[in-house]
Amino acid sequence: MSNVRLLSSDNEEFVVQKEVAERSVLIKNMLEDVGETDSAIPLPNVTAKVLKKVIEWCDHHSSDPVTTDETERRTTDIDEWDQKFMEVDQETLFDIILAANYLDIKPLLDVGCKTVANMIKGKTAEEIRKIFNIVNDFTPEEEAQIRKENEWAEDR
Amino acid sequence: MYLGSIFVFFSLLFFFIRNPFFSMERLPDEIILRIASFIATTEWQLLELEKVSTKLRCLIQDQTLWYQLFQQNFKNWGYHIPYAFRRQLIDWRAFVIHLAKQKRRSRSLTFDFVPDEPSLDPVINRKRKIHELARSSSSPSPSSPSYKNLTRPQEPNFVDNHQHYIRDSTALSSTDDSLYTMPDMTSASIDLSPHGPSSSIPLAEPSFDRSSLRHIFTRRLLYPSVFKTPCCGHQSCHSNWCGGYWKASKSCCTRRLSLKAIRT
Repeated sequence: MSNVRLLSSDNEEFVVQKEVAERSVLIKNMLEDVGETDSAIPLPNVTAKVLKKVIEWCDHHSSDPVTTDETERRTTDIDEWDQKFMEVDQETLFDIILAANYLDIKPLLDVGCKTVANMIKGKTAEEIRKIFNIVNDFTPEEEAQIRKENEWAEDR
Repeated sequence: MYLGSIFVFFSLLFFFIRNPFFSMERLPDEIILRIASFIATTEWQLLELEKVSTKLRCLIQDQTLWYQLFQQNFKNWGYHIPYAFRRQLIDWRAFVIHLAKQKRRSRSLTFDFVPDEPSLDPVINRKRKIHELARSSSSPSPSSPSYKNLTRPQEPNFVDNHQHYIRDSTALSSTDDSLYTMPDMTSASIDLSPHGPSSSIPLAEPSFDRSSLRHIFTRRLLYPSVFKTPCCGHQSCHSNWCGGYWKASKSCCTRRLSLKAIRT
């Protein structure tokens, strides 16, 4: 079984098994295009810290079947291992999501998005702002208008 | 020195809190939409997300999110309605909100049994009641309900007016149009109702009874030509007015026939 060398944005090199690296569609396509090579694949958008996490996830899910059904992917819950894997600070969580998007690892992207979605579920607008450091950039008039529009949905 | 370090600390803290680099907003739109697609299980949650910031408000307007919510809420119905990709046929956001509002309103509906009304008469007795009403209408009592005294413009009796008109129209040779003028339909001079010339008629009462029907029959035997004289044949008259047979109530046939007689 051949290995692949991956180079992070901060020039840290990771040696991984080919089938683990091929969980990423981006890397798989690169390997197909370049062919057998000894040179490291540069990943300028991914830091070493995040790449380590991504490789860990890919290693654990290397034998998982690839699901193409969008509805199935949406409805399935996050498994226990993934839940623990995603117990990181918000910044790292967003970095993992961004890295998964860049490397085209859809199942990892889904896990990240589901984790964020679970953090949002059942929260009010004010709570969401607090959790994710989002600035309320509405003018008072806009806010009043939105409140008026959504008045009917206030009492759940 | 001490105050300066405090100022630097708070300004850095403010920078870290307010910097979008550390917030969810640094995620690209497609990822935020993907996250929202996992949240799109209730309209309330989507509406709450809309309230967070202008960026999220714009993103939550995405029609596919609301269509997905519609499909989740109405599985069977949603299965049969495809999303129109080429042209937006339905404003899914407005539609889902409308459905949610409807659902909320339906919560306040009460499904109480309608109480039975024993005072209502059975249907069988209605005919008898109408008959009694008709009888009592000729001598209305002050205690009787007001609807009994309802009046309507008195209609002329068809048979007698008919007869009157035939009498007038026998002089076909005459060219005077006044002879063929319609009888006064509003006059109440002739009334063959069984209750005399009273104009106080209950609304549900029939205008003539068996005796008047017999009257029609005898008239028909006496003046068979009235009912059997064919129409003048003029297209507009035939189709619009008499339907094939000469009716004294319509002047069209009469006029045409009289003119024909003059010419011959």
